[in-house]
Amino acid sequence: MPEPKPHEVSQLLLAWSEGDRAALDQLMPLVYAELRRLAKSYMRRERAGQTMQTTALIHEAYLRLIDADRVRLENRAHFFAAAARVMRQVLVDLARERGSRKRGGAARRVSFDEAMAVGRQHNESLLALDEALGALAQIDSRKCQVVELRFFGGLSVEETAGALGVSVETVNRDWRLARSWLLRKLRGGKSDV
Amino acid sequence: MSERWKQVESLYHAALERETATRAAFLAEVCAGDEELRREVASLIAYDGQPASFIESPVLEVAAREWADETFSQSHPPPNAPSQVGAYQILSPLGRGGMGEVWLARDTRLGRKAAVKLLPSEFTSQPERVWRFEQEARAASALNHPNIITIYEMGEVEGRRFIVTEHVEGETLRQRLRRRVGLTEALGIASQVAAALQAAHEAGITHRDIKPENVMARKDGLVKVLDFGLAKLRADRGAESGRTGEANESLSVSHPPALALSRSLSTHPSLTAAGAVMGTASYMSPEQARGRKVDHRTDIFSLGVMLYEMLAGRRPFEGATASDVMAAVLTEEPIPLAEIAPEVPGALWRIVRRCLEKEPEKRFQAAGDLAFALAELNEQSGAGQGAAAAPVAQPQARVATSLLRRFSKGLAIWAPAMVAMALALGAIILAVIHLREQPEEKLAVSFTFGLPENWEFRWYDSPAVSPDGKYIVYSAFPVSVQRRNEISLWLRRLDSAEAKPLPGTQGGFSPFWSPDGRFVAFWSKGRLRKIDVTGGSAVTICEAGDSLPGSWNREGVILFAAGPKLSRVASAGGQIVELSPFAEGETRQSNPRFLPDGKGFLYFSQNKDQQNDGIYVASLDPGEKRKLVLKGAVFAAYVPTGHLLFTKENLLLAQRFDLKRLEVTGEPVRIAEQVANYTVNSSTGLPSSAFSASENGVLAWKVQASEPDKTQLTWFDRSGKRLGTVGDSAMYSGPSFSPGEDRLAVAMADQKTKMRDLWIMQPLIGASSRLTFDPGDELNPRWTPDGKWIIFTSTQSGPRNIYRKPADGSGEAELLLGSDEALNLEDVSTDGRFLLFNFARDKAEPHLALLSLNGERRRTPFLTPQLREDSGRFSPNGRWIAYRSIEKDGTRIFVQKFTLAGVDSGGKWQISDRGGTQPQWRGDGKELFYLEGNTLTAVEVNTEGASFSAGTPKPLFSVNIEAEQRRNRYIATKDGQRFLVVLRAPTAIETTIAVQVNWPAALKQ
Repeated sequence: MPEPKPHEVSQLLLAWSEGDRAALDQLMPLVYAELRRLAKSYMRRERAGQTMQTTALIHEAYLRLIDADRVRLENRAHFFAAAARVMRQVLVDLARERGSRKRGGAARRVSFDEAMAVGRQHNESLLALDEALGALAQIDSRKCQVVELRFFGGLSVEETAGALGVSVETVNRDWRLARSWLLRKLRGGKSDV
Repeated sequence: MSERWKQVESLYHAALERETATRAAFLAEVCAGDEELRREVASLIAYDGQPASFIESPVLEVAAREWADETFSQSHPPPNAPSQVGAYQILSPLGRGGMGEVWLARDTRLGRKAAVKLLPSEFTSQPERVWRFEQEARAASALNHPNIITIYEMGEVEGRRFIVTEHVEGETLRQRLRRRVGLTEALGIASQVAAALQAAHEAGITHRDIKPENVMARKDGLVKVLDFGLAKLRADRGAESGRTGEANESLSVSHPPALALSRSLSTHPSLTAAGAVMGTASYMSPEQARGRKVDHRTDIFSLGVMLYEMLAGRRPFEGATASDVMAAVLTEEPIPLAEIAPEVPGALWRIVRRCLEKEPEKRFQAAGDLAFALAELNEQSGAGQGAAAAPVAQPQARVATSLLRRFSKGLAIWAPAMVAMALALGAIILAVIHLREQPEEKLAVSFTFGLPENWEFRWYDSPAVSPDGKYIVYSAFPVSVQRRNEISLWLRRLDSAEAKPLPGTQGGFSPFWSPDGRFVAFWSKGRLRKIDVTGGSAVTICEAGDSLPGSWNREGVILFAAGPKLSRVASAGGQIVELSPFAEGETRQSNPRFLPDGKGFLYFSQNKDQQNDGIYVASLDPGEKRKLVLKGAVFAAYVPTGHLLFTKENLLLAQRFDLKRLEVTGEPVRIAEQVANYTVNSSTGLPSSAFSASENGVLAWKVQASEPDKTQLTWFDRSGKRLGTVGDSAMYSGPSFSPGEDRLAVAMADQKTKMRDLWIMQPLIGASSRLTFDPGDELNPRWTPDGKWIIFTSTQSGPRNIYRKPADGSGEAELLLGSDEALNLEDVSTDGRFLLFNFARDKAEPHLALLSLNGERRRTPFLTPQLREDSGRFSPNGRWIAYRSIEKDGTRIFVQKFTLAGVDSGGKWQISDRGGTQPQWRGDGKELFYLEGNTLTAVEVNTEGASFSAGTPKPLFSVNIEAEQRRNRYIATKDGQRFLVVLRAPTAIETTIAVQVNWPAALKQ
């Protein structure tokens, strides 16, 4: 697996966000690889008894993926947004793939304990969330973006505000409503307005 | 973005800016009839702030974690991965958890698939516990129930225990819950789990860990419950690493709950993973969360949680951490389904709510009842699809249904009482046969009957037997709903297996019969009323204020206690006439009972000199002098055998009575024990009637509760709605909140010695710790404003003196004020500079005094010594003191300016008119609470001006506390919205009536 080169990723992201669909195909394995690296380092730290510093890890990943220094300031927001979108794409695809592998394979997982279920639950949640986000985007695209940046992109509220060019307060409000809306969609199933 | 959505968005945020309690009203107002809009916003708000772990942390982190998990398990198979377990060839892993790994396997002999579970190797060294678990698992499997997973085999391989079960192709309910579960499917799943539980419970097996992970749903809709017995093994393991299970149980008797809880969690290896605790905690019953002993009803609670989750898409009790979840389980009421899932029928919500009752006694008592209720609902909703979704459970539930129906004709809630009645009936018939055939050899026959689940007697009311001994009438009401309004009278023919409510007797209590047995008179909302038991509506005889049962003679005269004096009224209605004036020294009359001539009567007289209290005989004829017949007794009735029946403590005694000479003769004979007997309260001074007797030898009384002294710290809101409880039931007194209201100091008495010690409880997290340990009596804890010290009363060096001790338990108790008198701490001023306490040389005369804590400790009297007062409380701004003034004709609440300038300077304001104890200020000083009798009363006050002012007192709600007897029976939160009340515990409440037929036979023994 090739080590992603920040410069390369930045260019691909730019290309993709400008409509070059082929760029995504090249991006995916890079993001994938970064994820794997992240997972390993996560495991290492966890074993060593260190608490996981989520934000630090994610920022680390971003730094490796995106050559932030070389991207002009006004473009950074754009990049973050694109990166978050890619992240969403990659992770959802991954979840889908794992889901189908499970269905096809003999190793049907039967959870006998909550401990088992906690991790597994993510695949389905992720797919459902992706679907729900799609619906939210139809009603209110900015709220969808806020969720994308924060949840898929791992950005802080401030970073999200910067990326979208709105106030922190607006992000907070959007997040709060989007969260309720998504939860209702996922758990209650009540239709929208 | 649509206009509509913009509207939703702005209303959503506007509503969230408001206090939770006012949101609904706000929305209703601004949506002004646009019901769809209101619902849309309300349903979004319902999800606000709900924990949603998966969206909270960036997906990257979770994905990485999962990835790590997966790559790890692929590259490093579990060290003990076998290729063969006994006759089973291992195919692939199915799952792994705290209680071992599960593998898909093929039975090489039979060729069928199976699931093989390997228990952690640690269990091999504990054969006894594994054996117990296996017994239970095997027993459940042996039931051969379609909804319980079948165990094929158990054994040991290479030092590890394994269990082989049938392999269920399907998904766990946890997995199924990721997608929306429809109403019909939810009903189908729940009834099948209920059917499984019913079968297991009937075989004496409790699951203890019902949760979506332990329920498998096959594609064809068949549901299987897994892992019976496993929870027990797990619990045993937890106990093993700390202490024994027995120790845990005995702990929970004397200790508040949380000790046991935190212990069981911290010693719970399989529960240490945060997710596992969360998941498990959500389905725990309150008794499990408290670490108490559980029975089958814990499963009913857990099933209720699952059903709620299926219907609502969220769990009823949620929180950010396991302890938050458990706190929610213990204290919160689930959001009504109507608010989050409007399509769920009300009847189904009632079923769910009943499963989720905090107290096991209030839940469905059997899984079969639950299955029955669900099946019935399914039938009603005509859910033909339901049958398809639940192919097996349905018919079974129906069997249960029809059986129950045939048995009870729909009166299912009365079933337990009916069984008792049916037995009783047999006994009576037997007695009657004896009476007829062998009159010289009569037998006294006793039996008891209980109230249905969730019903309570009005606590100081006694049942009333009709003069012919055929009927019993009593007052009872459902516990869970707004209580008092639903009291009504129930009539039971002793030869019938049914009690029925007397229509139009809502709010009725203190029943007594007309001599011809046709009418029952009773009190309701300040009126004396009567109802024809053969039919007809209740009519008012007179308005006279609530009272205890009266007595009705053949001339149609009714005698009753109106206030402190006996009065008479015609049963047809008319003027209330006071009887003769008080005899000398007499202060109160009550409990009249006519003698056979209809003129003379017995009554209880209270006197200035307690030595003169007792049962007297007097007459309707004016001029006749009263005569003491039973010294010290509070309630007596004459019976035609020539005896007086009366109570002494909890004994029912009979003694010969000479009607001519009006005196008792011979010795009293014991007729019955465990007779519930109360003095209602000291301000009204009415001792309750404890029993009732017919003219032909039928006696009835309420059976004394098993733990009449036990109390329960119970939360109420201002409307009197019960919100939850704190701690186990115990003998509590004097609760006091820390300044931050996160901790509670309370005195708890030892059951045997009755000596109190202080405890610090943390109601939110359920933790508690003992603060004092010495053999003396510790009481009246109060916090210093910085929350660091507890000041309290203690007898550790003789008389009651005032001490302090660090609230964290560090350091020794330090004497603050010593005296030969008894000193009782009342309050600490908000600036921490003054103590208010009462002192008494002899018990009857409390006075308030102040102690300054700054510099030289100086004691200052509060009022002139001529007055008697206690229960003093500083206002939050420190400018006023509210207290109870004890006067000859009762107690009153006053507010007095707090000044050290000298006694009685500064004026005082009377708050309560008559009665009134235990004043408490609201945190902002704008309201004052007090008890009037058993009614918590609130009055708005102004403490900010130069002068004090108060509005009109408003009653909030009534509770069963003996407020007048004791101090410090409740506290208000600072915001004045909630009250923690020292309430009688369920085990202190009577729920059984005893009946004795032909009791005079007992006299001959």
